[in-house]
Amino acid sequence: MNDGGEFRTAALSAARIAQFSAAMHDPNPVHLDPSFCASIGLPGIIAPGGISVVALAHAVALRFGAAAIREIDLTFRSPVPEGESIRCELDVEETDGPTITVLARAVGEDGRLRADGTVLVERMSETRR
Amino acid sequence: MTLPTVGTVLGEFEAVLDRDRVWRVDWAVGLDAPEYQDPELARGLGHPDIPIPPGALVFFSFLADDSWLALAGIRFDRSLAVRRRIRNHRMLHVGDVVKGRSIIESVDVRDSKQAKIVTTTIATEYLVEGAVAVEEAVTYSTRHPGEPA
Repeated sequence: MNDGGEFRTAALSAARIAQFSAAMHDPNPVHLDPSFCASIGLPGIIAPGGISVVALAHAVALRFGAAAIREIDLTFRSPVPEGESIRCELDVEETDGPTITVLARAVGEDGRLRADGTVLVERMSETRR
Repeated sequence: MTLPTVGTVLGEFEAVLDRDRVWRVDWAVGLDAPEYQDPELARGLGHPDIPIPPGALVFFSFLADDSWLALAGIRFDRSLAVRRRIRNHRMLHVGDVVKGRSIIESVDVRDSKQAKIVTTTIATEYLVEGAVAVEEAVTYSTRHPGEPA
C-alpha cells in the first residue's frame, strides 16, 4: 500500500545539480559538462544518483524521523535529466518486528523509474522529525 | 584490461562535517527542512548541531584526490554508479569529525555480446569517536566494449 509518504524534489536545474556536486566534491563531468555528455551520447547533463538517495531518505524521514533510518539500499535505474523533479513514493511493509521495511521508488516526470530499493526503519514513534 | 583488486585501499581520511555541505544539499534537492538550515532550531529539537541528512555522505567527498578512479578502474565515459547501500549506526551532525577508509570490496566480471561488464563495489566505514557511525557501499558498473577480460 502507499502510505502517503511522498516527497517531490525541486526541479533539478543545472544550478542545483552543480551545488549538489560541489557539496559532494563529485568529480564526474556527467553532472556538469554538456560537451562531455554529448561525447558519450547523453542529450545533456544528468543529476547525481545521490540526489535520489537523499530525496528518498528524506521522504522516509518525514514519516518516521531521520534518526530511525537504519539501512538504505537503492539501485539506480535510469538517468535523471536536468530540469526534472523526482517524485518519491513509499510503500510500507507491515510487520510486528522491531524493523519496518519501506519500499522506496524515485520516479521521473515521464513516469520512468529512476531509482528504487528498500529503507529499513527502526520502529519508533511515527511522524516525528 | 587490468581488473581492480579486491582489498585495495583507495584512501583514508579525517574530516570535520561542515554546514556548507548540508546547506548545499538542502537547497539542491529542495528539502526545505528548517533543522538543516538553522542550528538554533536544530538544538531546540535535541540535536547538538545541524543534523546531516541521511544519505548525504559519499566516500569521494573525503578522499584527497581523484587517484581512486584509476585504482578502482572507474572511467566516467564508461562507468555509472548503479547501487548505493548505507547502514546508519548513529546520526551525524555538523562538527562531527569522521575518520574513514575506502576499499575495493568486490569485483565481478560479466560477459555480454558487445562488452565486458566490470562491477566494482567500494566500501567505506565512517568512524566518529572510534566507533563506526555509517557504513557505505557504492557499486559502479563499467563497460569495456570489445576488450578481453
